[in-house]
Amino acid sequence: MATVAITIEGVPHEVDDRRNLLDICLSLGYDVPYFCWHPAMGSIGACRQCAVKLFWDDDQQGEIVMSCLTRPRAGNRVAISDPEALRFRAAVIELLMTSHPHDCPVCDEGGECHLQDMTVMTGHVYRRYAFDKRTFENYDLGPFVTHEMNRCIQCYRCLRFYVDYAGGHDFAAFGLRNEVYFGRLRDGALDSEFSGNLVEVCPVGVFDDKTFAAHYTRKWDLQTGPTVCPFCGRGCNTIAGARYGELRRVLNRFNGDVNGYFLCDRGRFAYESVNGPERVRRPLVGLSGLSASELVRGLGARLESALGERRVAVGARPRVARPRPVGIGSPRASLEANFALKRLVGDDRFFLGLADGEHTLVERAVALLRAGPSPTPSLRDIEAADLVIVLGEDLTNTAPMLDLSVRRWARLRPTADEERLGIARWNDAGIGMVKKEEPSALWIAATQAGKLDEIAAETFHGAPDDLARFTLALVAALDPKALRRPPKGLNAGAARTVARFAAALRAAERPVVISGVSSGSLPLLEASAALARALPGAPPAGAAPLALVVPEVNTLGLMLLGGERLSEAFRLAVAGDVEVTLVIENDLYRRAPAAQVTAFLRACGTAIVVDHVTTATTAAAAAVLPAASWAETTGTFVSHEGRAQRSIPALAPPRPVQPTWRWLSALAAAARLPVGQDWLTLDDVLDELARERPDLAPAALAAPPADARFVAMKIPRQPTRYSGRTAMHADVSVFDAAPPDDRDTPMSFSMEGYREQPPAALIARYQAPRWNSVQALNKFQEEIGGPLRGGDPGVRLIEPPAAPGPPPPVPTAPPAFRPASDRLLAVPLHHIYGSEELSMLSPPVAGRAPEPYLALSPGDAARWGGREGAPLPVLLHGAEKLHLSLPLRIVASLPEGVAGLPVGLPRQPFLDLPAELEIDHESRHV
Amino acid sequence: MINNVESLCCVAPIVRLGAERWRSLGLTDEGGTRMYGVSGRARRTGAWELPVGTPMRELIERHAGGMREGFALRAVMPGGASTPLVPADAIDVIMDFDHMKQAGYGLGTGTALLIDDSVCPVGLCLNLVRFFAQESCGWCTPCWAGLPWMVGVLADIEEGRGRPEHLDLLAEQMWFMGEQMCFCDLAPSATKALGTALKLFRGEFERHIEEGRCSYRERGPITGAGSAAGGRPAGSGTATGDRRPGPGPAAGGLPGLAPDRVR
Repeated sequence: MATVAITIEGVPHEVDDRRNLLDICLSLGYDVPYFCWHPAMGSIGACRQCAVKLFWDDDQQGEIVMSCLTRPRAGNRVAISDPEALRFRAAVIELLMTSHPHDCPVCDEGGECHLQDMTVMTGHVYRRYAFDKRTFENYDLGPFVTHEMNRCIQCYRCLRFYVDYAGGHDFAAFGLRNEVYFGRLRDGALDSEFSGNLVEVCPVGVFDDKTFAAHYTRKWDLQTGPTVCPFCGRGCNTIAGARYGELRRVLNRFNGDVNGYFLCDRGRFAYESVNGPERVRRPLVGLSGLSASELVRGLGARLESALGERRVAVGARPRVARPRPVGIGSPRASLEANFALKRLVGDDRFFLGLADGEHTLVERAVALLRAGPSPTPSLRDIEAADLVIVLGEDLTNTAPMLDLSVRRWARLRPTADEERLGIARWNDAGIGMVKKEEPSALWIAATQAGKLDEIAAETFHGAPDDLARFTLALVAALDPKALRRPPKGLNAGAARTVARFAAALRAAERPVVISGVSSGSLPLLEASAALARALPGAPPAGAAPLALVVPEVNTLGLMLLGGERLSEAFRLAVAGDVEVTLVIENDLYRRAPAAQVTAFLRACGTAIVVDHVTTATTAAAAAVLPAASWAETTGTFVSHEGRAQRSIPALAPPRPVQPTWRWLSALAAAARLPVGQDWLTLDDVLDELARERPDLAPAALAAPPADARFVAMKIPRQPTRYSGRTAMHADVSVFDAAPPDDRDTPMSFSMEGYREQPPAALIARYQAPRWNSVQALNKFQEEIGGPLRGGDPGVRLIEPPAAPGPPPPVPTAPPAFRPASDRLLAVPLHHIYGSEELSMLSPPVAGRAPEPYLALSPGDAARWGGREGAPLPVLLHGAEKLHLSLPLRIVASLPEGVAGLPVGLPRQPFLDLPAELEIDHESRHV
Repeated sequence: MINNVESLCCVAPIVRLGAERWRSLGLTDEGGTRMYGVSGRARRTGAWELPVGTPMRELIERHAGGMREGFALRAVMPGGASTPLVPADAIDVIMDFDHMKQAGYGLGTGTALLIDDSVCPVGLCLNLVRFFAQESCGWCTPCWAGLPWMVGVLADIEEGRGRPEHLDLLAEQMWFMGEQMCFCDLAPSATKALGTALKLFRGEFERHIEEGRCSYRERGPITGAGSAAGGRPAGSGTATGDRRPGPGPAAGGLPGLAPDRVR
């Protein structure tokens, strides 16, 4: 990099000559209009909107250049407001508008449209084009995205995102001249898991959010909050928008360390559970119709008697052996809610509420991450890698945004050829051309084929134990002394594959290892960490970054908090040691076999469930308290990266709904417990967390505290133009109600307050003078591409130890997988639409989910006499024996002897996987 | 890699004569020979291999035998649809790359198309711009959005709906399609002939607008080169029943450039 001195609009600047002039001008706060350039996808020079006048040295004439395609050179003078440049840019808009339908009043993009912004910015007002507009017919692109091609201005962003960056195959640009058609070949749902980004990438209203259209509101009428996506462990930052007490849509919220500019379709379109019929909106207790306060008083009394003399010495183990309450936490509840429950019931009576197998795996994952020396990589770390190896994770379905991050990395990672040829990082065509010739640097080992395979250099498929053996063989190949007993018995083919993987790994200077708990294999988890340790990395760790995927939004936070196993709670209850059970935001039927859960709920005394949706567990509870949903509650969630992030709601919970920790505080008060009585705001809970658990204290820093003020003001969730404030609830009351109070954050549910840019963790919408679309994000970043001003939000709770301890013992390889003659090994298959609980309450997402099925390799299918689609009766030997009849899906990539079962689907029993599975011929012939 | 027939034609004589001898065949520094051609209403249309640097006048008057009787040369499109027009009084220009460029024209293919006084310059430009509008790949805005607009404006002028401000609009669009303004050379090339036509034949454009009609169309069909009599037939009326805008095939349309409707 070199810094060169140039002037922009007569003002001298020192700028980075690796960037282009558009990026530089925008980073410095100048307004230059653009369309085809995208901060995450670079420059292509198609729209010609970003023209500026460039003068070289003493040159007085200057030339029109496209700022997005021009590198700064020392002595350049850039004139954005040169009359010829202004005239040129106005002419571009005039042309782009020739066929545009001017249907802003009925367009969902209206009010947040980049074309509107740019048209106003360039000053094009009068229409001179007097000929026919070109018109198109549109296609039905499925439940997520609308299509209105007549609005298209041919900027090619959709094509570039969908095909070049997200790897989609069912989208193209058809035709020529002013009739280029962007879309599918025929009607049908967009196949990519990232199609929703078209909504934000498209600068006009060609692609809009179909779920939003179903209950549409203008951007200026949306009350928004900076939320954290609750639908997987990645913790992507989102902006949730609400109106009339209803959640209306979700948009990306930039975080350069987590999700950058994009979201996956589950994160964007699965918000409907907040509004849906499954919501718990009032206390449910049999048919008695108690009010919330009566119920809390009653439950508190029950709790009080159950706690007995423990009240005297909180936290200490009572000497009297009498039944006591237990608390079951949840990986989808906030750190604060789980901590509040843990305080309420005591450390030894707090159970994490994870399936036992998952508990073991996540516990180990946290231990591995804490031991280091491999740090967990942020998005930026992944983007800087020169090799990525994915072990046992189907990222597209288990952590979709990691899939997109890997794809983006695969396209944008720097290569020797690009350095040699001097191809700028923003030169999208150049980068794309080089990448076509470059060998891939992505290596994958997984049980079965995934969508990422197509951009991988090579994939290895095997049973989970064989993946662990394969990984350990790689460790042995990298460092022959690392293993006392390197795995033997890899067949010749696999040995050659190991050699190819190892050769690539050996050459890597900045490799990243991605693994996780989704395959259910502890040996693979351990082997992945061993591989990361054996690979080089930046000091001080000196080992490769290791990302471990965990399934839910706060799985990692829950494990960091720590607690007992769920099966232990079951054991206590069945032994008669439980009198009251508190379950927060957890459907136990998704965590353990139904028979065990039912037995537990029968034996656990009074079961009080705090949740925002009805589940099988709430149905069996003695009382259900209505919790605020993720869009209504402030809370801290710890992502798989160990990043604590504050989710701040878009909506005030409608009474009597309130955050889980507040219910717990109320219960404690009713039970006259000396716990939680000073918890007035979330910060009080976080203060107590910091006192009790200094290692988790940084979680409080994830966002400014509730009493933070900005010029003595709160930050408003409503834009200045928010309309109907005094009228929108007139059907309930004609009196002008005060806006709901937000005690937990420095944000208000009103239009009044601080109007300048808030701290990064409190950004609830992207809007700036002259910039009303999502492109206004440029104004919130320190420079284009981020980070946000003041740093991207979130605090990492796990950093590699400064002084690495003794390396953990290198795992020994499990025995090679040998398919039994009469049994198969069933492994879990994950589905972006289907495997996650809350997202399946959204009809658009549920509509894309598969029905339960059994996946077999072609060989096994032939062996067991199954035909594609025909039901096959099976017996699963998990924690309990399960008889299932499932239609067969033949999956060519599955290893022989391995069966795949989709997990997490609704109306399907809990599947304890991996487990042995028998094709149940007895019942088949009956 | 050489994949151009014209270039391949040079290989045999270069091998046969040697590079120096072949180079010395040229009349200017550029050397060698080239395929030159003449089409339009010349006495003998055709293609000739001539020394590079042959003056255009020699090509037209000596090799093509000058204009057919009854037709007067008004301009020459020297090297294809993307070259500026050479006015009839400037055909002494030497036809090599350098001289043509210096004079502001461009040698292009070296196949000159003669524009005579029966050809409507507006219709000619419409036909050319429409061709380029059809060929636009759809990448950059001046080209995909600007060319169809120009087609519309030119069609309006040609069909009698022109307005005085249209000429400024055309000039503006041509500025907008300057070489640095566009991603590739197609749009700048598309307007080269129009740019010179607007200078050479501005009166014709203005007359179209003033009279609200194309006077060339009312002269009726021209029998063309195959006619034994040559020259213009008597009679009047519209050329064909073709309702497409722009000159019909018999009204001086260029071969191979099928007019099509650009919406």
